[in-house]
Amino acid sequence: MKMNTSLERFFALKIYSVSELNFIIKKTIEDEDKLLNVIVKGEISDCKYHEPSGHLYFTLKDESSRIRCVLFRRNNLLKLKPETGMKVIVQGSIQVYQQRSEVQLVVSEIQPEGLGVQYLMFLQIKEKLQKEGLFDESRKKKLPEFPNCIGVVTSPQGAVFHDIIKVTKRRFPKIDIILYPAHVQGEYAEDELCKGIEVFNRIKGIDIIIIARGGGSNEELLVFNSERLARTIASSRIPIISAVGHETDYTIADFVADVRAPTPSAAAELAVPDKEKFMQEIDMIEKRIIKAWKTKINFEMKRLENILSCKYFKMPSKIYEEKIQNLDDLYSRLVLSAKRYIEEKNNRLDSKIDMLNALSPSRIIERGYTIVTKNGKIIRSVDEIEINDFLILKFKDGFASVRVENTNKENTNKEKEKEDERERK
Amino acid sequence: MEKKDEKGKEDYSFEEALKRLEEIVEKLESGELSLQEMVTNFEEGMRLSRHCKKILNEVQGKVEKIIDENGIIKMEDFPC
Repeated sequence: MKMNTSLERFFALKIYSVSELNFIIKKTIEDEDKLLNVIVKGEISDCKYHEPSGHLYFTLKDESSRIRCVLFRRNNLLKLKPETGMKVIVQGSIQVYQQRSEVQLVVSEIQPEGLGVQYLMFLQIKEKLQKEGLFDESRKKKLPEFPNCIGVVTSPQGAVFHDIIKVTKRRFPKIDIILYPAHVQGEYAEDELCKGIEVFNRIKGIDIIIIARGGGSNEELLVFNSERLARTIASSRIPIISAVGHETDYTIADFVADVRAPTPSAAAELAVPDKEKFMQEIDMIEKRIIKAWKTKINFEMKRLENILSCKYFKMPSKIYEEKIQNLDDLYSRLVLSAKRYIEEKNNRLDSKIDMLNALSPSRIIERGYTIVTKNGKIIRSVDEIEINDFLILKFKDGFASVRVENTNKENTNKEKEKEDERERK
Repeated sequence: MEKKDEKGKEDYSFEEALKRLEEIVEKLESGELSLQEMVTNFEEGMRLSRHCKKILNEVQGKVEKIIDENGIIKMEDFPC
């Protein structure tokens, strides 16, 4: 120290320590306005991640020169993973690593230069998310057939939102539409688009989310390749339709969304059922109902007709005609048998009368017999009369009074035999 | 069960009404219903079809815009 002081004095010169020199270099360079916030174009080489910190160290070079660069993790907003060979544009400030007086560019922004790198980045994220299964068909949600309310995340300016309204109102006017206004490009776009999806998932009644943007350059569509947006889409519980740019534009958002639509109008067509289709369907159903009804009525009518066409309904007299005949038959049989009965009885009576007639006294008298009475009493034996008795003789045609002159009792044969027997004894 | 259905008929969403309508037309076409059941189902079917058409012809739904003030959500009509 002492030595130094004397030497300084002797030579009238300032002698720095290395540390002091390095400090001066650092201070001089870092204070230089020209080196604050420089934008540099170059190609990446010697790219190294520092795993624990997530910082990235690389060299930026052109044909003849190179400079060391560092990208601290907090600055890596684009999630671009720089790789050797990428042509990039970086923004940053020169810093000097004092211990070794090494100059390096501390990168605050890194942007791919030109389409090639953008495409590379797109492929990188795509590959990463694909590996995670975020594009798998199995995890895609089905769109509800009858949404009541559609949430749209897009810019309120421009034709996109109006196209969606127009298509929705034409197809199914009843459906409500809610817009979450979001920038669709620029520094706020990613945050706002993600928030839109999150908000729609938080509030009630949203059935489908459409995330949409009109056509634009690849740079303008860049946000739809954002990994954060892709992850937000993937975590939505509500089905999401993406409709970004033109039909030929494919973004990461398209791959991760549940349904990809080529244009915003097409997204609305996919989300909103067609009223006319349902009208026709309901008309068809109505026709089928009426037809089924008519068929049934015809069937029942036929049945009724069949029943009514039976002979008893057609000619009710048939029911009793048979009975009448039956009755007539029975009646005649009754009359006939009654007649026969009476006739038979009559015949029997006649024969009895004949028999009776044959036995009557007058008939006997007619045959020439005479009835003899005495004092009104019929005389049956000669023993009942005496000489001089007055007798009345009844003839068939009158009377005669007579006086008995003589009686003579005649022996009957039996008495004779008895007498004969007595005599023989 | 039947009564409950009866009560809520006008509150059916379009989707529910259309589903019920399809059930009814299939029942009617099956030819297995009695005449009385045909009458009941026919009437319900026609009522549902009117209900569906009414919904389809209903006037415009809302168009609204969300205003997100640091997570506080408000809605306002979107002029269109």
